[in-house]
Amino acid sequence: MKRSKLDILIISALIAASLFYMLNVSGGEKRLYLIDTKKKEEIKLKDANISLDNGHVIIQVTAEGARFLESDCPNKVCIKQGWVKNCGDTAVCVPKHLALVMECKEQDYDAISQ
Amino acid sequence: MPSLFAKILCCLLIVALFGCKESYKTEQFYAMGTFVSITVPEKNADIIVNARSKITSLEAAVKEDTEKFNRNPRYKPRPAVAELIERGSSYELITDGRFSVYAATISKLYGFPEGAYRVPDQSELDTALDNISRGTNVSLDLGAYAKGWIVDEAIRTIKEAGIKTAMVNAGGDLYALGKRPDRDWRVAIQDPKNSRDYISIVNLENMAVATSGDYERAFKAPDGRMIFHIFDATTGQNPEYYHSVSVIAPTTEEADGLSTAFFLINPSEVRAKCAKLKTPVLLYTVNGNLMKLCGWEKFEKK
Repeated sequence: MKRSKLDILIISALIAASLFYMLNVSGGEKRLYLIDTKKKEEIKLKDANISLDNGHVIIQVTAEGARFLESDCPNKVCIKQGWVKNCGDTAVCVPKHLALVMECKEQDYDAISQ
Repeated sequence: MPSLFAKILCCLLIVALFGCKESYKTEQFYAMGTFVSITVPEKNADIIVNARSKITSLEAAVKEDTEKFNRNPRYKPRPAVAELIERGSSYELITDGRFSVYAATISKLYGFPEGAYRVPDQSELDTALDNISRGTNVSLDLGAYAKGWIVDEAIRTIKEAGIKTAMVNAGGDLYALGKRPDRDWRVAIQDPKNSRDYISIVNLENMAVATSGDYERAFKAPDGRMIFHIFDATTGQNPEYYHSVSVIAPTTEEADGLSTAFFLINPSEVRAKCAKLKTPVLLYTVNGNLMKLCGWEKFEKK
């Protein structure tokens, strides 16, 4: 059977699709996000301190993860929640409407009930 | 030239290849005093806007009616909110009045929800308890289960658009619609003593789970006691049985309301009630015991 241009096109499309699929499911990739009332923004995992709310909230970021380092909110729940390092970890500062979330391609669970 | 059949087959193969990993879109936002996340299949992402506006409009409705009622007890809430208030009586029955939609009459004396926190003296508490039992000078607060109802309504919006799989999670009170392509939705129950750990993972399909805890909203009294936001409407004090109570139920409203109601009664009472209601329960007692009741373990990850 002769190969037509269409065959080659289809085969290339299939190879591209498989590659795309394989890259897409290569699990374990972690992404750190900072969420506020308006947006969800990815934060690069490297050493940095992020100052928010006119310096009333400070987030410490490392290559491993991030945490709320300082906050002038009354109960300091966000600070007590500690490091956001593993898939699904979250730290939420409700009074400031801020959250840190570590999302992964593959994780043990889809949500946390707390 | 390959036949038309072969071409179609190839196209189908490509579709199948992409289709076998359904990707999901999650949007997170602040509502109802917590972070809410809505997860739907990527291809249905448009519905998120509708579900989100459903949540914000119902939240506003409950808030408005609650505030108006608290200013004027003769105020008639809109029918949906009036029905919601009425459904609170089932939790009052289950707990012999320890649960009350008027528990805010007590909790506000302590400074909840926003602070400044303080410990009221016994005479203030006695007046509040008296008011609750007579239904006068009370503060209405549907916080114990309105969030669950609103999650259910958001799920209804998603279902009515023909979407078969989704999750709406309002700070741990959540509903899992359908299942993901390869498995059920998995929900981890947070360890009250270590926020980075969990005490159970459950698989849910068309089911809700909600958790009440003594650890999220609390303050330290001058005598060193931790005081949290759930109060017994017959004593004016915190119940002292559990660190956390999780309930699986067919609706988020029921899971949400029961997790608070069960917090107020002892483990043997919970065992009797959950058997009757057929709602699985996970109790984490103040002594550190984990009790799985009424079929909880059947939902746990295998």
